[in-house]
Amino acid sequence: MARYLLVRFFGFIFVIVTVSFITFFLMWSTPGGPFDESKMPLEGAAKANILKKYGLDQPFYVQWFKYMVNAVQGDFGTSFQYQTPVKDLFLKFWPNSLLLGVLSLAWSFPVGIIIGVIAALKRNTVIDYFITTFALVTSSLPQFAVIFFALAIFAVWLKVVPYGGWIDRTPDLKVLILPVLIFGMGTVGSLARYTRSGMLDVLGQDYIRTARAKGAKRSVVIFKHAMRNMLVPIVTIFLPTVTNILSGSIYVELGFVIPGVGRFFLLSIFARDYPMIMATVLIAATILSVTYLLTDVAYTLLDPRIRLA
Amino acid sequence: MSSSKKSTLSRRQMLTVMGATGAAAALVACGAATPTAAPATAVPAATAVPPTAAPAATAVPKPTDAPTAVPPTTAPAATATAAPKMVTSGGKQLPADAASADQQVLLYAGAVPGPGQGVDAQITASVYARGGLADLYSLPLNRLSHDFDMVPGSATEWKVSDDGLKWTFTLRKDLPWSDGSGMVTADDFIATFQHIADPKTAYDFTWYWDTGNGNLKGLGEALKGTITPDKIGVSKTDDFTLVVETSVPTPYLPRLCIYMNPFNAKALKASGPKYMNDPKTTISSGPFVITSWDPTRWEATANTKVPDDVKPFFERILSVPYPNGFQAYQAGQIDMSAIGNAADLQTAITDPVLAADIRPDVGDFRTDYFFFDTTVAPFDNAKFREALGHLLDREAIGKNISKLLARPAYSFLAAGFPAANPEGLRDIQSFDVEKAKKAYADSGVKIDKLTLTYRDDYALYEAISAFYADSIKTNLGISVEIKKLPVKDYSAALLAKPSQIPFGAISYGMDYLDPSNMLGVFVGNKKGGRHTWNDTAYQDLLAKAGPMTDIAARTALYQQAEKLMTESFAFVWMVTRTPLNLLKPYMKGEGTLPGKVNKNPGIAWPQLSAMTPYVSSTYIGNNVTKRTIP
Repeated sequence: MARYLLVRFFGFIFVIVTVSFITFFLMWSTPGGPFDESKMPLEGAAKANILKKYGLDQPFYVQWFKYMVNAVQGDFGTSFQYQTPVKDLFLKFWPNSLLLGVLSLAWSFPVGIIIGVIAALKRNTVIDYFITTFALVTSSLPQFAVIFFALAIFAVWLKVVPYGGWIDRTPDLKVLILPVLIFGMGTVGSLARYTRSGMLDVLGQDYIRTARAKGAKRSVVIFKHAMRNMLVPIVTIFLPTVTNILSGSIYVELGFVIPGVGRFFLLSIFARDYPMIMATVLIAATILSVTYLLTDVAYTLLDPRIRLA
Repeated sequence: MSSSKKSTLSRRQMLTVMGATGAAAALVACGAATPTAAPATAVPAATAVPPTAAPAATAVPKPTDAPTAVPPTTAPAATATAAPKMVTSGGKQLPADAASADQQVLLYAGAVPGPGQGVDAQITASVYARGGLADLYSLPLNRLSHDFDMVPGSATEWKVSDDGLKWTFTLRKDLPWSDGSGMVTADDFIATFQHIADPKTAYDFTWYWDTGNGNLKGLGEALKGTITPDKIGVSKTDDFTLVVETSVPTPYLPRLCIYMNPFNAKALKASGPKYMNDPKTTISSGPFVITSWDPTRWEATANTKVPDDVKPFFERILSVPYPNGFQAYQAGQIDMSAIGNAADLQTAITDPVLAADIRPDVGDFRTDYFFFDTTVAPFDNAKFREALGHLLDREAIGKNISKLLARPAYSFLAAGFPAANPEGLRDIQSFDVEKAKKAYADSGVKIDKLTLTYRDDYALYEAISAFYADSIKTNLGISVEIKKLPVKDYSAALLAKPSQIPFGAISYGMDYLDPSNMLGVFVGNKKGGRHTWNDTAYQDLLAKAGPMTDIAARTALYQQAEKLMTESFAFVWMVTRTPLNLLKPYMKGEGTLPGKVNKNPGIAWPQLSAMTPYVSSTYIGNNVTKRTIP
C-alpha cells in the first residue's frame, strides 16, 4: 500500500505540473487580457502600466514559474477582477458551492439508491418502467435548459419560488429549492440506473439464491447480502460526483446567479483573470486526483478480492 | 425474485402505453396553444412615443457652458386634504403621492453579472469594473439633465480663460463627507485627477482625459512616467476653486466632467480607492452610502448628511444580480429593467400590463455600423465599398428585425445629438441595388466570399448580419460567412496590427455629449482611433473643429467631416438603438417625466447614477402594489 501511494503521489505531481502548464499556455495564448478596449484603444503607456500592474509584461514561462512557486506555498495570487487574494475569494465563494452541492447530494443519493433498488425489485413492472424512464430523462436533460424553463414556469409564471436572488450568505430555503433540485437531477438519474443494474446483477447470483433457500428474510437478503456487493459500482460514481460537488456547478451557479466557485471560474475566463483561473484548475485537479485515489482504496475495502497494483 | 403476473407488463405493452400517452400529450399541447392575452395588432399607446423624439438640439453646445440657474428639486407642497406628511430618515418630506417611508426602497437588478462586476464603486476607480450600484456616492463636477443639459454637480459654475486653456470650477461649500472629515474641496478633485494620472493606478479610461479628448495638460507625460502625477494641469486657487488646464483649447471640457467623481483625498492617500467598497471604511458625499458591497448584494442607504437637494427620497437601494432582469421584472422582484432582445420585446408588447410600463429612451445615442479594413483588398477599393454600402435595406431591418429596439441609421450621429445631420446624409448610403451593381462592376473586383465578424454584445447582430449577407449574396453573388467573437477577443482582433477583422460589425455610444467624442472614434488607428481608415482630410477637420468656440462654424466642420466619412463608405451605418426600459407605474418623480426636448418619459441615460439629479427626486408612489422587500 505504501509503495502504491508513493507511486500515485509522483503521478499526482506530474498531473499538476502538466495541467497547470497547459492551462497557463492556453490562457496566455487567448486574445485579450485583463483590460478593456471595447470602447477605444488604450494608449501605449496606459496599456503598459496595466500589464506591469498585473505582472503580464514578463515572458509566459517566467509568469508560469513564478505562479507555481507561489502556489506550492499556498499563495494563489491576487485576482485581477476583485483585487483580492484568490485564497480569500475561495473562502468566500466555496461555502456557497459546498452548500449547494451538499444539499443536492443529501437528496439525490438516497433517492437515487432507493428508487434504483425499487426498480430492481419490481423489475418489468409499471414501477420499474416509470423509474427507468425518469432516470433516463433526468440524467439526459441538459441543466441549462431545465434551469431556463424551471425559472420561467415556477418563478415568473406561477411565482411559487423567488426568481433567483441568492442575496445573502445564508439564503432562505425558497431560493434553494430549484437549484438544489436541478443540481441533483443528473445524479439521481444516473445513480438510479447504476443501482438498478447493479442490484439486478447481484440478485441473480448463486449466493442470493442460497440465502433465500436457507430461509433468510427478504430484508436480510436485500440489505445484508445484495446491497454490500452492489456498492462497488456505486462507489465508482460516488466519489467523482463528490468532486463535481466540491468544484461547483457552472451551469447551476450561472443560471441561478449563485456566488460559487463554478460561476466565478467561468467569469474569470471571460475576464482573463489568470490567477483565479489557475487556482481553480489546480484545486480541481488536486481534488480529482485525491478522489480517484480514495476510490481505488475504497474498492479494496469493499471487496477483498480487489488488490491495488 | 419474480414479480407477480398481474403487475407485469411486457416491454411491447409498455412502449404502446408510453407512445399513446405521448401522442395524447402532444395533442393537448397543440390544442392549448391559445394566447392568454389577445395579441396586439398595433403597438400599444405606451410604446407609441416615437423613438425619433430625441432631443431636437443639433447645434454644438456653447463652449463656455455656464449653467443656467437650476432650482433644486423640492417636494411639492402638501395640500390640506393630502395624506399625512411623511418624512424620510434624512428629514426630507416625501411628496403627497408617495408611499410611506418604509416603501421607499428601490429594487434593482445588478447588471447581468459579468467579469469584474462588483469591484469598484466609482467611475474614477475603474470604468469597466464598476459594480451594480456605482456612482452614487459623490457628485461629479457637473451633471446631466433629462434633456442632456449641463447642470451643477459638485461645481456650481465654471468658466474658461480667454485663451481657452484654463477652466475654473467653483465648488459648492456645503457638500460634506459622511465621515465628518469636512467638505468636498478642490483637494479631493486634485487627488482624484492625480490618481488617474498615476502609472501605478493603471486606470482603464485614460484616453478619455488624454490628447484628442480631455486634453488634460501633462496627463500623457505622467502616464509615461516622464513627470510625476502632481505636475499635471490641475490646481486650486482656494479650497473651493478648482483649476483644470488643457494642452489645447477644449471648449467641451465641462461635458467630460460628468465622469469626474471625487475621492476623499485623505482616505485615498491612506488606503487607495478600495476604501469606498468596504462598508466599514466607505465615505460618501453623494446621495447614498454603501452598506453592502458583495457580489450577491449591493445595497446603499440614504446619506442623511448631505443638503436636501442631494438627499434622496429613497431610504435604500438594493441591487441583486438576477439571472435575467426582464424575468425578474415580470416576477415582480425589481422596479425597473430593460428590454434587451426581440423575444422580450414581443413578450412585453403582447402583455397589456408590461406594455403600459415600456419607456423608450435615447440611451447613449448608440449607433451600430458595419466597417471595412480599408488597407486590405478588396475593401481598399472605394467602389467595392460603395457597392456593399448600397445593399443594406435599413427600412426592412427596422420593420422586421429591430422594430422598436432600434431605428434605421443613415448617419452616425443620431437625431438630437449635437451636429447631427441625418436628413442631410440620408441619400448617400441609400438602399439601391442598381447603384450597388454598377459600383461593383466599376470596381473591377472579382470575389466569391467574404467573412463578416460581429462583436457578440448585441442580440440583433446575428439577424441583421444574416440579412445583410443575404442581400450581398442575392445581388452581387458574393457569399458571406458570418462569425461572432466575444468582446475581449473582438477588441484584440480589431486592434491587432494588422487588424484581423477586415469586415465587421460594432457600435459606439457617447461618453460625453459632443461630436468630438463620437466622431473621434473614426480618426484612424494612426491617431489613436480603432479603425484602419486614416483619412487626413477627416483628421484635419476634427483637429480644426475641436478647439473652436464659434458654435455654428464648429457644427459645420463636424457635419462636413461626417459627410466625408459617410461618402467614403468605409463604414456602413446600420441602426441607432432606442433602448426600451420597463418602469413600474409606481415609480414617480421629475426624472420619470418627459422633458421639454427629450420627450421620452422614463429615467434617461445614465439612469441610476448621481451623474443626473433625478436619482434624488425619484420615489415610490402610493399606488405601489404589494412587494417583497428583501
